[in-house]
This record gives sequence, structure tokens and C-alpha cells, in this order.
Amino acid sequence: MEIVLPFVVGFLFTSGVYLMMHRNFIKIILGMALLGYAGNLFLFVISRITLGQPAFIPSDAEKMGEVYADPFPQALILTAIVIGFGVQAFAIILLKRTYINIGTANLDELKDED
Amino acid sequence: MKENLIIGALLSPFVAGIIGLLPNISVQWQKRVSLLGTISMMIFSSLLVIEVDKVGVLSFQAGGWEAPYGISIVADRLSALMVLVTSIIAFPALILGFESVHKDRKVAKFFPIFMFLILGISGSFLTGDVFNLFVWFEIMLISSFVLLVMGNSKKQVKGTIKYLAINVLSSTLFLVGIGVLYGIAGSVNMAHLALVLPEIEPKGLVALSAVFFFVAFGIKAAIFPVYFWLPSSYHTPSTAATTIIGALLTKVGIYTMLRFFSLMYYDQISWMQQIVFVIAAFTMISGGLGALAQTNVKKLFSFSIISQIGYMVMGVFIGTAAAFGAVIYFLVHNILVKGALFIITGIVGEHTRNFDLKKGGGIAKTYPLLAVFYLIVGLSLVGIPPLSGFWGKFGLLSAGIITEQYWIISIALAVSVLTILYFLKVWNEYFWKAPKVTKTKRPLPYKFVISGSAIVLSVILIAVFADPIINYCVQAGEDLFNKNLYIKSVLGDVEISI
Repeated sequence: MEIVLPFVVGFLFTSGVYLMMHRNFIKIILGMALLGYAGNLFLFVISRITLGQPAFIPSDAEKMGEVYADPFPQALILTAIVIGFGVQAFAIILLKRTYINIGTANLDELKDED
Repeated sequence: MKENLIIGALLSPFVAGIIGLLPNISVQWQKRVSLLGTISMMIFSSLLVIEVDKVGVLSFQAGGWEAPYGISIVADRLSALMVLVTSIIAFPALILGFESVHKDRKVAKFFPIFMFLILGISGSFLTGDVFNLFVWFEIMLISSFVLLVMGNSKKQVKGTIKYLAINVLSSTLFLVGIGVLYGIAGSVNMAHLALVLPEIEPKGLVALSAVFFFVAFGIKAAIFPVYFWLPSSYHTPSTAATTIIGALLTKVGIYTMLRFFSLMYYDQISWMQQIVFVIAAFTMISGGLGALAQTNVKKLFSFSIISQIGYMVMGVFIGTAAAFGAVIYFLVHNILVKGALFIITGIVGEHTRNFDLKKGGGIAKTYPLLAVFYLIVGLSLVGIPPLSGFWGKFGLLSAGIITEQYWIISIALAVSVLTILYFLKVWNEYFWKAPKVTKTKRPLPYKFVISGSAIVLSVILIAVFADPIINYCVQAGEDLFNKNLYIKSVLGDVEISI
């Protein structure tokens, strides 16, 4: 079933970039979220998925004989998720401020006048 | 124990930021603490530069995990110098902020966020781990988002949306690059990667990750097709924030490019070179022409940043030890000079409440000190011989001529004329011509004078002490080129086959 994942990654990237080119700020935020998922899933896929194995070895094991999942990409993805979460929270607050200050979330109505 | 200097340089802004974020802390104390943090960082980073100049590279493994498994923190000559310059530019920007940041912005914790921005920038300079670099980048970016939007005016919100969107895209590309790198090499430690990457098959995937990193850092550095976010966001926040963001953030992109393409991707330079030169040429030209077209002085210098970025990208991809050294000197020169231009025109703008060139004028008569400051810094940017810009450009151009890259060098020379033009435009319109409406002269607040003098002094000093600084930079460039010192310091005595 792993063969499905690359296509999911591709689909997420496509839709994320598509949404980010939209003029509505809400859709840009959704695009950011999808791009974040795409990046994380990509990290997961490219660092070789091990199915049904834990990412650690028993404490009494002498050496790493058994197949075990690589804990490193999991740690990376966890960090990336947390950071992405922070950025999205900021973006949503920014959306709120935009809406309160300017009264619109449509970027075409925010043209530079200076 | 010398490694503690690195920790000191990182902890100073970190602790100052944390204290400033405590609830119920007054703005007065936020100012004091951040000033203390900046000065302490300056002391630690000067000591670090002196120490690194003696031993070459200082490194330690965070958390005690041996490299390449743990996170390496490395200060070589380049990193140490960049951290020092960061603290030097932070000082006048902070003093300027004390006077010019409006009251509502202060309440919203301007100064602690400023310290976190400094922390993110210095962390990016000091890390020896690709993923750790991503984390420092995010600290830096989130702080810069907050600084850009603080004040909540309409144009700030607009600028921040663009800045946010493009940076999320660039971070994603960076993350994907890290993914490819880990997938093919199984490591994210820069020194380890420098050893294993040249032997990895297939070469195509190595090239792919190099392109991902180039695009991600290129967006951050504002190179040609992807620079439009910069002029539409950098001029919007308060001058103190513009100074630090404008002087440093794009240069972090250049620094990482320099680090990656000297240490890990040196093999890739040969095929990317001509493509990147075309990009660099367009960056120089469009930045210069864009600057000429502007009437808002902050916007004008935002375009000027882009133009200078073109020179640095060119220097990185000339790819000789001399070129690396020249880029390092040019980076230092540019951070200080760009910071100084933003500070001086910012002082004029904040004081006369006018950033528009058309409405301005007569500053040379009413505030001659500021006019002298601008003249020194502006001539330095243009590259008039005794001043620092000359040595930077001279190094870059001679490195280019030695490697026979004539077409890009001629474009770089031609763009210098554009630099003179927009420098003169600001001088004529903002400082020299008679103002349309004569305003009453108000004395300059002393904090403005301190801030302006400090930055102009540092611009003069890097020209006066050009000789030792250039020697240091040449040595730093050679360290980057040879890379054995860096790898040995991080990994210990491994077999090095380069």
C-alpha cells in the first residue's frame, strides 16, 4: 500500500500550491496547511517506511538485530508539525486582524496605493 | 571551555527575550534588559571571533550525542564574524527603536520579539545541522512576522500576508530538500554530509536536493524571479524593525547558500554556475532599476537590497577561495551599510514624519549632521575607494576576472552606475534640494544621534581597518574552500578523502 503515498504527496502539493495562488486569504491559509502536510508526508515517505515495527529497541537487547523503524524522520516530522502549527495559528490571527481592520479577506481589494 | 563563548552569544538574546516576555514587566525594563542582552552578546561574540581566529573552528555537540547523531554547533571564522556583525547592527537598531517605536507597539512586546529575531539569526549562523538550521529559520521567521505586523496598520497587514505566504512556501521547499538529503545520505549533519555526499549515487538526486535548497534560500535572499515580496513588505513596519530585518534577513539566505555550496554541494557549482549567473544578473539589474523608480525612501533601499544580493549570489557561485573571501567581506560591508542607510533615512523620516522623496528636502541645511552621515554611508555603498564598498566590490570583481567570468563581471560593473544614480537621487531629493514647505527645525533626540553615530562609526571602522578585516575574511574564505578543518572539528579524526 506504500505505493499510494507518493501520489498522495503529489496531490497534496498540487492542491496546496493551487490554493496558495488564490486571492482569498482563507484559501491561502488552507493552502499553507496542505503544503505543510505534503512536506511532512514527503519526509515520511522518502526516509523509507517500516511497517508494523516500533521506533525503539528493547532495553535488554545487545544489538539492533531486528528490523525497527527509523526514529529520526519521526522526530523531524514532529518538530515540523509543531512549527507549522505555530505559523498557522499566526496566519489565522492575521486573517482575523485583516478582517477587522480592513473589512475584507480578498487580497485583490488590498492593492498597494502608495 | 572556549565553547561556552558560543553558548554565551546565543543565551544573551534568549534570556533577554524571555525576561521581556514575562507578564507585568514594564516597557522601561524591557528596554533595559534588551540593551543589556545586546551588549552582552556583543562582548561574547567579539571574544568568540578572537578565539576562533586563533584555533580556526570551535564546535561542540549539543546534548552530548556524538556527531553525526547529535546536533553540532559550530563556529568557524565565517559564523563567528556573522554573529559579531549581527550584534553590532542590533545595537543601533535597538537604540533607534527606543525612541521611534510607537507606544502601542511597545506595549505589544516589541523589544523581546526583537531579541528573539536576533537569537534566530545567530542560531542560523552557528548551527552545524541542516534540520536544526530549519528550526532556527522558523524562530527567525516567526519573530519577523510579528515585527512586521506589529502596529496593525493596513499596509503592514498587506505586506505581512505576502511575506508570510512566500516564506511558508520557502520553508516547505527547504523541508523537502532536507527530506531528499536524508533519504539519500541518511544524515543531516553538515560535516558528515560533506564527507558522504560526493560518493552518493545517483548524482541526479544530489543535484535535486541542491536545487531545492537553492530555491528555498533564494526566496529568503530575494533573488530575481522571487523577490516581489521584499519591496512590498520591508518598508511597512517601524524603522527599527525595517533596519534589522532589511540588513540581516536576506543575508542569512546568502550565508546559508555560501555554507551549503562550499561545504556540501561544491561539486554542484560547476553545472549550476551559468544558470545562477543569469539569475544574479537579473537580480542586480532589476533591483537597481526598481530602486531608481521609487519615491518612498524605505522602498527605494528595499530594492537596493535586492540589487546587492545579486552581487553576493554571483560571488558564491564563482566558487573559488578568493571569491568566498570576497563574499564574506561584502556581506559584512553590506549588512552594516544597508543597516546604516535604513537608520539614517529612518531618523530623517521619523523626525520629519515624511518618507516621501518628493515632499522632502532641505535636510542638509536643517540637520547637517544627518546629511554628513548619509554622504559617508552612501559613498561607501557606491564603492568610492577609501570606503568599504570599494574593497568588497574589488574582491568580487577580481575573483571573477581571475576565473574569466567576463560577462557577469561587466554587468556587475554596469549596475554600479545604477547604484550611484539612486544614491544621488536620494541625496538630491531628500537632503539637498530646497523644501517645498519649510518646517521648523526641532532638535534631534539624543537617542537618534547615538544610534546614527554608532552605525556610521562602524561603517568607517570597517574601512579604516580594512586590512586586518580583509585578511580575516580571506582566511575565512580559504577555510570554507578547504573544509577539512570544519569536518575535523565536528567529526573528530575521521578519514578525510577529498
